[in-house]
Amino acid sequence: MPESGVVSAYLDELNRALRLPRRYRSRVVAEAQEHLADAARQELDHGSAPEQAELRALSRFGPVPVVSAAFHRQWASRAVRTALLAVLASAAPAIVAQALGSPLFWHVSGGLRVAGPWPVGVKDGAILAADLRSMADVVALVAMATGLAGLVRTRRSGAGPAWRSGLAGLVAAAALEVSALCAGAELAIATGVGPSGIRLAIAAGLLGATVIGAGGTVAWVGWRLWRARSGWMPAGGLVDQVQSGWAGISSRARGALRRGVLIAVPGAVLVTVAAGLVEFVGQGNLRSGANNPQQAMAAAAARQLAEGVAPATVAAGAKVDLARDLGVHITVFDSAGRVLASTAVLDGRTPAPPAGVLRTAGRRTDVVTWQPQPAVRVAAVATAWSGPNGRGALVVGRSLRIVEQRESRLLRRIAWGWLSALAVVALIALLSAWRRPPPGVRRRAWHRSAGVAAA
Amino acid sequence: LDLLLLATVAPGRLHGYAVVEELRRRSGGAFDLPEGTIYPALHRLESAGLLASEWSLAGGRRRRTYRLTPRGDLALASHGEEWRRFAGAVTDVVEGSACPNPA
Repeated sequence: MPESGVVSAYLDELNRALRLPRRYRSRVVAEAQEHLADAARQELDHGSAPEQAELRALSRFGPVPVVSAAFHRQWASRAVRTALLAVLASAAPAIVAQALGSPLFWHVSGGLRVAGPWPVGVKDGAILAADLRSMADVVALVAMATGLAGLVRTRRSGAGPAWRSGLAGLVAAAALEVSALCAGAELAIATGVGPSGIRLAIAAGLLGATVIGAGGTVAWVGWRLWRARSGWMPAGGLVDQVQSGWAGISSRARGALRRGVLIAVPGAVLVTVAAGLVEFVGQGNLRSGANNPQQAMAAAAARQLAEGVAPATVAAGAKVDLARDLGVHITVFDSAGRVLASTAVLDGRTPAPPAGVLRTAGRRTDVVTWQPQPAVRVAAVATAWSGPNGRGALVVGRSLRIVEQRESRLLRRIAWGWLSALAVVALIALLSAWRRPPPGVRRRAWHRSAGVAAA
Repeated sequence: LDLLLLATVAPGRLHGYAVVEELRRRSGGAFDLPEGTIYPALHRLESAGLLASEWSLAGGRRRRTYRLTPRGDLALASHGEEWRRFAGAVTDVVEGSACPNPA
């Protein structure tokens, strides 16, 4: 039966209404055309007039808005499912980059700490990147929490402007990308001046994967949100789409995944936060304790110099080799930065801290970690002095070797504890996902019913 | 709807219009949906790997026909069993023919 104007008009309208990829849209319209031809022929067989047969076929097929909305819902759920997979894929390199940019990694690997002496500005760049990463992490966490809370609230109330949750997700993804970029920058800076080209290659690879993954995710989510705002999605919005995508996964896998994630995510967060707190408090205690003798000695030396005691008397005693000895050493400088007296020695010479340390000491007592040469690190206290013999700055220091060994031990223990706790959480999550059925119930039937119940 | 479509396509290859007709016939006319909304459901099942489709020539016309995949076959058996248990339980409750009280 040849197609009349009314069917052609309907198909044209459907073609315009469908916001789908061109190839898929062609398929949909072709199937609709075949369907309408079959339906009209059947109506003719039942005695309808040709025009009436086509109108009845169109009526049975459904109005264009209803049909196109059904296709949009179906297509959007597929797209959202793909987007969720993309988010997961981009999260993996981002997490690895974050981990490699973390202080724990640098401490364990000895990357940032022993890679000096640093070219001018490089260490500042790494520190700036670390600060930016911290801020971006906070923004990402807040945005993710906001998005999650919005989704839960919207789901509970059954309606609402779900796209705002998606917008929060977009902010989270963008912040995560900034964070990952900073982590990559830290890695690149540190490994660029370090000894190993392999780490540089790893850093570059991770950075590239992260940027591509996170950038693609941001673009993808942004595009979907824009389409949602412009009315492409049906009224249910993102929540419906996510739920539809979720429904596309097999019911058994869905139930197991839900049970596992409900235990694994909060458990991993708790374990990580606990490990971070222990590391923060433990390392802080060790590091602050390392400065105590120097602070007391610097104050006493400044007081002696103010009372007129000669610098050579204040800085008297056996020489301390910074590369070998663990004792406290003192160096007295004049206002021009020249050494007046010192008990410190390194490679047969009196080492001097960077000029900026002495300048800062002129304004206030400064506590710094000073690295006069690779693998030699000193916890130093610099303060100003003035007295009858002139004025200047003095630096009291002590090797950090013992403290760093303790820090390393502490961090290794925390790292092992953290990994062990994560493994336990993962095991519990796995066992919960594949939990044992009650007595008398076959495992397959149990899991199938659990999945169906979850659906 | 997914279970109904899987069951309808199970006997053999069917094109979209035949699926609608078969669904209406087997349900005694109870399932009389807007026919255009069947296709998104068919496409969803296809993207989930439960159905497969291809263009073929039938009666001199080009049609998209659907058939059950092995995964679709398994899903039909699994969901069908669940449905029979569920429907049986509801029927038992409604008709009061459940198991006698063990007490």
